[in-house]
Amino acid sequence: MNKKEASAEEAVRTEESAELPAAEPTATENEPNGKADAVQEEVAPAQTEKSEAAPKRYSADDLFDCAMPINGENILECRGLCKMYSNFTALYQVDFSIPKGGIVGLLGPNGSGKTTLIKLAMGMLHPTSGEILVDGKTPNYKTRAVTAYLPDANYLCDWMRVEQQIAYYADFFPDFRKDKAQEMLARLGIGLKQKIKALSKGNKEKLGLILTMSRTAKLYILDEPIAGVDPAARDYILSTIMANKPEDATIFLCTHLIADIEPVLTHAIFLRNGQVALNSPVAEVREKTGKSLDELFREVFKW
Amino acid sequence: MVGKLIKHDLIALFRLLLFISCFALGFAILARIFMTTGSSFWLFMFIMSLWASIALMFVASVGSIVRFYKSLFTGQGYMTFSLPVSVTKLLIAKLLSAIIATLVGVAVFIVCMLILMSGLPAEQLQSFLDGVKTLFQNVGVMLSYDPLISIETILLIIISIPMGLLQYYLCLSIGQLFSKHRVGWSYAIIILSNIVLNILFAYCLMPIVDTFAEINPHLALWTVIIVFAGLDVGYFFLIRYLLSHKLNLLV
Repeated sequence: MNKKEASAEEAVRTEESAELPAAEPTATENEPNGKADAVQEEVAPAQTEKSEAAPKRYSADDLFDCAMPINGENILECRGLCKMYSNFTALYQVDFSIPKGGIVGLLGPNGSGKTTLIKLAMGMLHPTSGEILVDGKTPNYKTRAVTAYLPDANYLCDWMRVEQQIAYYADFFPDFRKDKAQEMLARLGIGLKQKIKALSKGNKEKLGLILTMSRTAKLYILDEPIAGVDPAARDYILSTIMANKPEDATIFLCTHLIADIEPVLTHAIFLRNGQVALNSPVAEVREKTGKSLDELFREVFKW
Repeated sequence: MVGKLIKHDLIALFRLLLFISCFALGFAILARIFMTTGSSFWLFMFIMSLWASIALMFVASVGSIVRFYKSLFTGQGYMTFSLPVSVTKLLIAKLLSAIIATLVGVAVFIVCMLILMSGLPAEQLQSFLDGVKTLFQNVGVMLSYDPLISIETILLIIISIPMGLLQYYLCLSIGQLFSKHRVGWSYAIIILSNIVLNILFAYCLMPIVDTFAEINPHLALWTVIIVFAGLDVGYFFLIRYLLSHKLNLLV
């Protein structure tokens, strides 16, 4: 970007900042790896070309931190959250809060820090600085009692039968509903006596989801629940999530397959190189940018 | 929660142990039957039973170490660490289930031996029983001479049992810190730690214990008890720290 373009972009930013709510420092200012410049350049021309008569169009940066409507306590909160692995910064100054209720999408390409954020929320990792709170508490074994977690890994015991895995969940999670799990499995045609290692990859994913969604938790953390399964299975997974979500519970869903999950999301958080690039209700994204979440995602994360 | 954790760990461990136990006991019973009938086949069955019994004890201890690794540091770790259970309880449960499995292995071995012994000719059986009687008499004499020794010895045995397991758990917990070849690193750390501990015991602990034994045998025993207990506690808290602060779940 030459100096002329840079000053033009700065002028647009100054003009817009008067109209928008006070924004947090932009991604470029906080960027640890210096990769955000490219994205800024992509967005800048679109901003300079807009005419005064045309309806106002916002970019992802304008929606950097549109706070979610507060309807009670926050179920998940990050304040200046940073996580570093040796010389690599996985998360940098992540700030957001998620109130109870709704389906929140944590969206970003591979390596953007989604799984690290989820591990921090589950207490499997500790922040380098800043803090993360689940239901107002630092994540530990007690917060796991209110958090149902579906990891992005084959986490089931292969040697067990389906019924043994159900018994395992029932033993440790008082909010686990055995009847609900059995009903969902019967509908899917997965036998209770079947060995888990004999199940197909798709059925293992579904079993994991059924076990997770059979809990009556406050927060459901689903890490890539639709990755690596066929479109029909994706539909099943999404309908299972929707059908089994308790009314006041929050679903924190992490994926890079935006188009599939967009219809169910109420709020979106874009994560780019470990920083929040967008934090906005999905309806607001559509209203302000005139683009779908998928289109905006492709724009923000364009190579 | 510890009880539930132990239950599920034992279910996992006994999948293999039950199978080998049946073999060991089956071979022992067959050897005993062949002994009675005078068939020469009894020796083969006796050896098979002996092998199965040794394998059982080996599988019981090694199986619990493998179970520790698989349930905490592979994909299953995601499930284990999403349970509403503290790391301390997880560790205690792993340790107790491993000790129970090892003790069951030892018990089955003893039962197999008793079955085989009962088939020995009367004179051989009598000489064996006499040997056992003499051993207990000697122990009895020693205990009547100094009853405190028995308490100290029992304490030492109790403290020694988890020490080996905790050492392996610690090596695996350090091994998981690496992002590649974690099992290989774990083996390397196990070998290295054994070498270091053997050197320390041989050149530091044993000379001190020998010196103390000349002054007072109790002092020597208590020195070993304190060192072993210190190692148990040190291992435990190091593992606890690594699991709660340095967990490195891949997959």
